[in-house]
Amino acid sequence: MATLTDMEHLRRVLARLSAERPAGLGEHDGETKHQEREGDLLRRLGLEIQSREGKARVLVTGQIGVGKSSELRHFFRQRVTEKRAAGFWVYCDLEKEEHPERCGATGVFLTVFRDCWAATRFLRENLAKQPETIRNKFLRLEDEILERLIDWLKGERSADGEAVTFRFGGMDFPVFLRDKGSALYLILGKASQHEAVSERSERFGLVPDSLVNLLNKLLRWVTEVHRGRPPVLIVDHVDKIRDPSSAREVLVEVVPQWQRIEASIIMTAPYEYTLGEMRHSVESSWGKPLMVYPLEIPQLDSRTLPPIYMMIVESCGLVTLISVEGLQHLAYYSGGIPRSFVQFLIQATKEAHLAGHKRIEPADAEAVIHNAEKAYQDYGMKEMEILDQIDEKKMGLAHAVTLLRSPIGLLVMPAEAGEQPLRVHPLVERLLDRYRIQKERAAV
Amino acid sequence: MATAEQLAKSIQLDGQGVHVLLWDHQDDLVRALIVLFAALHDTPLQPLLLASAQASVSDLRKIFELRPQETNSVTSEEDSLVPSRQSLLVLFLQQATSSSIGPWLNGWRSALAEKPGALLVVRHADFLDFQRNAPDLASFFASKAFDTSSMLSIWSASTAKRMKTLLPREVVGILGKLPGKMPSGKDIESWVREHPPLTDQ
Repeated sequence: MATLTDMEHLRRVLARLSAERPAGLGEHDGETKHQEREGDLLRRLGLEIQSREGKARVLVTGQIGVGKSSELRHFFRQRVTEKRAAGFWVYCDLEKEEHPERCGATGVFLTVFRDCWAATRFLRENLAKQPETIRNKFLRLEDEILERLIDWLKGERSADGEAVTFRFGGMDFPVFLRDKGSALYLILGKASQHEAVSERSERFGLVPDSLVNLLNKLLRWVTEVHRGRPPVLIVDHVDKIRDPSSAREVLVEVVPQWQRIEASIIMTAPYEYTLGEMRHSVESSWGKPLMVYPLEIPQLDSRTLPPIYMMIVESCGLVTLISVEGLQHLAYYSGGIPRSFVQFLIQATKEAHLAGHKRIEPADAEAVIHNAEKAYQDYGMKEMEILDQIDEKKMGLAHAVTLLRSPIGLLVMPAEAGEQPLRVHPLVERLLDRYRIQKERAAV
Repeated sequence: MATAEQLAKSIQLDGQGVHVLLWDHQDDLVRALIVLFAALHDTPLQPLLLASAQASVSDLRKIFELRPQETNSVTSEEDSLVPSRQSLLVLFLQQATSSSIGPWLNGWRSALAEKPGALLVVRHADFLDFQRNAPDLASFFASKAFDTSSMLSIWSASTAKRMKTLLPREVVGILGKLPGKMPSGKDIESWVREHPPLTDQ
């Protein structure tokens, strides 16, 4: 029987667990298999897309690590398998080769344009199969986009006209035009990267209307090819824009720009900017964001686990290699954050191997949890006070944004009977108990 | 309690992602690095001091940004936008720079995590502040943070054979700019002598 003391088996298990990437089909190494979870997020997304064809504007939000990208990718994959019926779907990724932290509206727009262009690749490669009018329309559009980008980004053509050199951040970036499709992808990719990383003074400024029009022309062409079904754009990792002014620009100030795009848009949003003073502005432009909540947190002393934890364990081949108690501990202390649960499984697997255990024993799980608890040791009196107050009054979330950030102190759980329950993260419970005892003693 | 060899094993097994090495005193840090570098003997390393936001951004952009095409032979679109990195980045965060450098590293979360990953060396006192300023990056640390102040002086015979009492010159240069004083060569030699290696299994 395979055990965790066997390095080959250890590698096989670890290859099926990754906290670095969103869950997927689990067909490749380094990818955790996606598991269906409770809640109606996907149904709600489907309803928005179907009921407001080409015009849906949806924000998806939730705490760090709850699985926003995994759910959106799953939603995307489900639709893409039915591509003909569902039209043209594009997954735009603000994190891919980029720097979302301070990315403004222009950076997001260029990323959307880049990924829309990349998604037309199959159509471009099979252009010869399209009717002549559609083919010619596309070729004209390709030239038009290229010319407009060269103008806007102040590119300089070489003497023979075969290359264009752009200056990004003081460095020359030559692009050869022999293959226009690839050249456009390179230009859009580099421009969006530059826009995300550069100081504001070095950025290109607002997207010119002509570029929004050209993106719309491309989307219209794609709609025509897909028998009138308007495209759907999923824009992921916008939630990683943490700079307040950039987040405000993307989520509030340029909403008219997003409204003009002739496609349905699903965009992730930084959770902290859908609370407090920005809540009203965001909700009046986008409607109430759809939340991805943590998974159900099991009771520590109960032997029953919500099925999803077991499904994750089964999918990576750990089902016979983890003690019930160990699994219970890891699930509970993950706080229902799937990323944390997968990280704990990875770490517990390594702990077991290092300890010479054949399977993950309770002691291995405890070592992992103990290590994770250390992240909270630096919490100061201020954090503990806020945590204590919020835990007692169950309100005041907008003032506790830092507790929603890593290391996560507060969990926003699924709404029950119109209430939004807030819960102290299990990893910080013991610390909070100690704080309360000290507070009581001081009061006495 | 962890060992530097365990950190090395974790880095090698994961082959990606960001690990963290926390420190309070340079003595502990130097000892941990000596064992770590010996245990990671097969892994090319790229040490870098992140002392100010401006300089750090400039250095990291050189590593992460797309480079101009060298020829006009355009490869596949997707591949053409992927800068490849061969070395494990060892990033030393200067004291009290979390609020200026943290957000930048947060934005490069994905690039830092790409194979073969990165090791972030942070002072314990700065760690909470760093996490607040780089919340997305920090959400991937979990149990990948190792503390030099509680590391055991245990290593295998094979690591012992490769252990040097001096760190690479560029790392020594970086440590010289961090707070605290490096232990002398004699201190390290006697520390190594006092801790004979465990027998390899």
